[in-house]
Parts: sequence; C-alpha cells; structure tokens
Amino acid sequence: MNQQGRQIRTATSFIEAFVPGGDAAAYLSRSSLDTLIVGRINLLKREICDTRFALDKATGSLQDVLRVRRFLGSGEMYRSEICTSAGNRAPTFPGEMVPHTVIFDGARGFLKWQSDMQDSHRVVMLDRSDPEFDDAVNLLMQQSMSRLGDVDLSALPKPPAGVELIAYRTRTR
Amino acid sequence: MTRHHPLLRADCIYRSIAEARITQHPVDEDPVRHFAHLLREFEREAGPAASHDAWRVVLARLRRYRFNLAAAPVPSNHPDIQPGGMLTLLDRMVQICGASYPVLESRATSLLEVVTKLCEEPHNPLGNALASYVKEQHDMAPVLLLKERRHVSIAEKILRGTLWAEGIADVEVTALVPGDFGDACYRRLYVIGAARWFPRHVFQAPRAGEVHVFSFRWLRDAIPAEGVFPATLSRRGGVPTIRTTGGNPTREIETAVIEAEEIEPVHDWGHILRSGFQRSKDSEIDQSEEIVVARTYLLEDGYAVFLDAESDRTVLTLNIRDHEHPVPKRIKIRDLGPGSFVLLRTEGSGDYIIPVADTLLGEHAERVREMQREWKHCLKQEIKKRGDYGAVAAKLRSLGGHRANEVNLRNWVSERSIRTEAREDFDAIMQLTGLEERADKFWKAMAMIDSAHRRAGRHIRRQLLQKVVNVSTDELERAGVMHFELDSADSGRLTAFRVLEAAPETAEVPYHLLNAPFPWEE
Repeated sequence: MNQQGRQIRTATSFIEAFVPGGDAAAYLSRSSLDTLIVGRINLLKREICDTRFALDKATGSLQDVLRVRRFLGSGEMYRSEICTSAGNRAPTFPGEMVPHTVIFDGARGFLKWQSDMQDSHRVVMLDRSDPEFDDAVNLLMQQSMSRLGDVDLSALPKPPAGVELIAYRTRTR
Repeated sequence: MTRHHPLLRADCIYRSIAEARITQHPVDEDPVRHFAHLLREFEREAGPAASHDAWRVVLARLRRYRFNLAAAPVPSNHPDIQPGGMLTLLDRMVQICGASYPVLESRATSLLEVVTKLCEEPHNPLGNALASYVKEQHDMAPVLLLKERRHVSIAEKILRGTLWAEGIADVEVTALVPGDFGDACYRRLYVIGAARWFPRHVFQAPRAGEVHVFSFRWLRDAIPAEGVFPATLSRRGGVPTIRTTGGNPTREIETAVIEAEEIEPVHDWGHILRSGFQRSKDSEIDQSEEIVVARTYLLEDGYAVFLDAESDRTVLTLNIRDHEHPVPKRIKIRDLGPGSFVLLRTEGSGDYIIPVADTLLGEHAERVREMQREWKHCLKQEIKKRGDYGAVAAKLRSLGGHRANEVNLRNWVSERSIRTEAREDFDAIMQLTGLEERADKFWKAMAMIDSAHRRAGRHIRRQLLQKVVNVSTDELERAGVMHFELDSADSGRLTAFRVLEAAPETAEVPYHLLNAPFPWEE
C-alpha cells in the first residue's frame, strides 16, 4: 500500500511539473485513449519507460505522463497505447475506441495505416535516412493537395537544425 | 561502435546537423576527363549503333569504368575498377570498325588509346586530392562515404597505402556507403563523387560536423539545398553552410561539362534476369514446371536472387535494427527493402526447409513426397484436360470444395503449397482426380509434411540463434554478407546477404530458380 502510494505521489509531482496547472490526480483517475503511438516498440519502450527525466525537483519517466496501456499493470488507468509498425494488421481497440491523436513514429506505420486512422488527429515523424522517407513525403504532399487549410507554425519555436515541419488540416472521415 | 541510449544518439545527430559545414573540393584532372568526354562523343556519334549487341556490351563496360573512376579514389590501373574484358572487347570492335562501322573508326581508335593508357598508368586524382587533404588535417581516422559498396575495401586499402607512403602510418581508414550510417555521427566525412549520387539526407541532415565532397570539376553537380516540403507550407530549422574551395565547381565551358546523373550506372534488369535464367541447365528445364511471378533483388557481393512476388509470401531475414546481435525473423517479401538482410541457402537448392523437413520425416520422406507429387500431378492434368482454372474451380465447388476459386486453385496446384487448409476442399480435389478412395491416406501424408515443415522452420531458427549470438550487428552490417554453417548436414549453409536494390518490375520465372542466389555482372 505504502509502495503504491509513493508511486502515485511521484507520478503526480512529475505530471504537475510537466504540465504546470494540470490536474494530475484527475488525469490519473480515469482511462482514455488520448494518444496512439505507432512505431518500434522495443525502442519506444526504452525511451518511455527506461529513461529518467528530472523537471524542477520532480523526477519521472515519460511513462508517468503518457501512461501507455501496454506498459501498465492490469487495472491501472491508461491514457495512451502503443502498437508496432511491423505488424500485418491495423490496430484495433476495445469498445471501438478512437484515439484522439495518432503519432506515427517512422514512415512504415504511416504508409501502412494512415488510411485506417482518419478519425484521429495525426502527427507524423519521419527520419530522412529512412528508406521509405520519400514515399511517406510523397503521400503527405498528395494529401496536402486536398487540405482544408493551413496551420500557422510561426508561433512554434524554430525547429532544430535539419528538421522541417509541415502542418495542415484535413477532413475527418 | 558502442550502442548508446537512443536519446543520446538523437542528441548527437541534432548537434552534428546544427554544426555542419559542407565543403566542395572540385578536382581538376585531364586524362579521366578526356576519356569521359570521348566516350560521350562516341555514344552520340554511334547513335542507334550503340544499341547493337556488339557495341552495347563494350559500351556498358566503358560506362562502368568511367563511373568507377569518378566514384572511387582508386588508381585507374587498379584491376578492381576495370570491368572484365573491357580492353579486349574494345580492341576487337576497333578491328572490325573499318568494315562494319567506318564512321566510328577514328573515334573508336582514340577511345581505345585513351582507355589503354588509363588502364596502364596509375591515375588517381580523387585519391590524391583526398590524401593531401587528410594529411593536411592530420586526420588519423578518416571516414569516407562512397556511392558503391564494391569500392569500400579497395578505397580503404589505397588511402591507407598512400598515406603510409607519405610517412603517415597507423591511420585508421573507414569507408562506408549511406546505408551504413545507423545512428553513428562522425567528426569529418569525406564524400567521394557527385553529391547528386547520394541520398539527400547526407547533406541536409549530415552525420558529421564537417562534410568534404571530392568530385571532378567536369561533373555538373549541386549539393541538394532545397527542403523536402514547399517553403510556403513548412517551417525549417537550420541548414548546413556550404562552401567551395578553388572556385566554381563547374567552371569548364558548357560543352565540357557532364551531368552527374548522366554517368551514374543504371541497372539493366533484363540482363540480370537473363543471367539468372542461364543457370538453368537444359536437363533442369521441365516444360510442365510451374512458372511463378517473381521480383529480382540485387544482393551484396555481386549476387542477385528471384523471390516470390505474391503478396503473402515470406522470407527469413536477420533483423539488425536495435539489436546487439542479429535476430532471425520471417517477414513478408514485399517488406524486404535495401539494407535488409535476407537468409538464403547457398549450398544445394534454394529452399532450405525441404531438406531439413525430409530429414525429420526420415524413412517416410520418400513415400509422402511421392504422394504430394501424385495428387498435384493429377490436379494439373485435370486443369489441362478442362482447359482453364475457372472451369476446374467451378467443378470443385460443385463437389463441396467451397473455397475453390481460381486464385486458391493456383495455390493448391503449386509446388509451394502442401495441402488445402480445409478438408472439404481437399476431398473435392480427391474426388475430381479419382483419388477419393485414398483421400484419408493423402490427407494424413500431407499433414506429416506440413508438420515436418513447421518443425524444420523452428529447428533452423534455433540453430541460427545459436550461430548469430556470436556475431555482432555491427560486424554483419560491415561485412554485408555472412555465411552460417548449420550443424545438421541437410540444412547446409545459409548466407545472409544485404539487399541492395529491388527490381521495379516483376517477371515470370521457373519455380526452381526461386530463392537461389546467382552471380551477375553488368
């Protein structure tokens, strides 16, 4: 009991440091599929679960914030899920839940399943040295032809060197 | 190379891009330029004659030699960069020119003189410029980026030798091709050849603080500077600074400049396909053999292979991403791309499962394989008799084979499948082919084969796991090709080949040519 209590306090303080003003307790008290991450699970697990961050005086991992269902024990409240980009079938979710946002980490998952995820907001991260980079860029550009509008990126900080950002609005299914 | 935490690796890459400076080092040199222009002029003058078989073969070798000279910092007389038979073939063509191609005689003679001189004398302008710069920078661990893997080991050796001759010993030279980067970053990277021959990320997101491009001045080239997305739609972080030493990279008069793309070799996929077909000995040609739709893959070390192009077919690979040691993994062939490592049998026939499965079947192997051949043969005869697959599928449906359609029927009759998934489809085939009295025996025999194939797959995987645990991912990436001798005599030797390229089109090939690597030459 004590041990569980400490874990929750740690997670709460890290979330509060991460999202100042956010209601960490409420965040941890219910499950919802806010985000789906599509990528290489073993690599993402290392980043999400095994990497410790310090923020102000709080320490924690990205898992404290993301609360990926796959990496939680049964019965714990989740806020996101992760699925492999190497699989052969598009991911499905209990109760026909639709993720609010899908993050495609890499070209492979985006090329395979973007058409199945058109009810969600989509974030696509591409690596220039990925063999499928050009195919993914072509698909993004093709989709941008029928965009509903542009998204103003000027409010964002300048991207790191070598990074290009593009954002647009499309019709959901 | 130590495998750091992914976030540290990502941080290293971003820092490298932020600091990157790209310097072009145009190299002036006459004999190679003279040859490059003569060849271009000759091809223009030859016109349609250049596509005649006799000239086509010679010109392909001359083009390859021109490219090698522009892409490898290796002396022009080094045998590793001279395509086999080039001089002999050219000499023969010059001799028949007077009678068959009088208009080309004078240019062909000049070409022969120039090429002969290059093949005899050690011209290495790119290598000399590179060695001078490396020496000037006191770079004791230069990293070269080359266009083609075939030049890697010779380029390392030559640069080490050149520096040693100048009194600089113990230099650790590393040559790479773009697919080798992984997550690594370097202090300096020496790119050999035209920037346009390399993927854009080499220059737009460089893996080194300093990138130096050594290329001939007579090659029209440009560092790709434009973003991948239109500027109006996107927001872009910093880009590397670009500078050029020694003036305009292409200051020659327009006619003396050759576009970098013009000399880049293009694979003749038809020729590679024919090379694969030539392996079929007459004795192996069986008119009734199944023809399959396959795609040609170019492999490391001068090999190619035909792999089944049907959508669900799989192949055994070694997964090297994010693992210290390669991990055997079966993937769909359509997911196989450049940089993947495919495992192929390099002793015996192409399929490594069958011999192992037959060993597991023991004394039953001969009998059950014969039964497999028998029912498939009877089904083929039925298709032949009725004229088309559609009619046979309809008949099978009427006999209770509910899944019978043209696609499934092609699969059932194929040597690649063992039996139908559902018993009622199998029974319908037995009935149609007059084998119904022995249907149970056939079904059980096919179940034995199926089970043996599954066990064989697991057996090979287990053996591979034991072997690959002694191999590091870096070692495999560096070698590009690795042999694995499996303990069981029947599985023989499996070789992991890096996939270099896949043919854009598929082709029909006899079944026995699938999965069997074959050597090819341009």
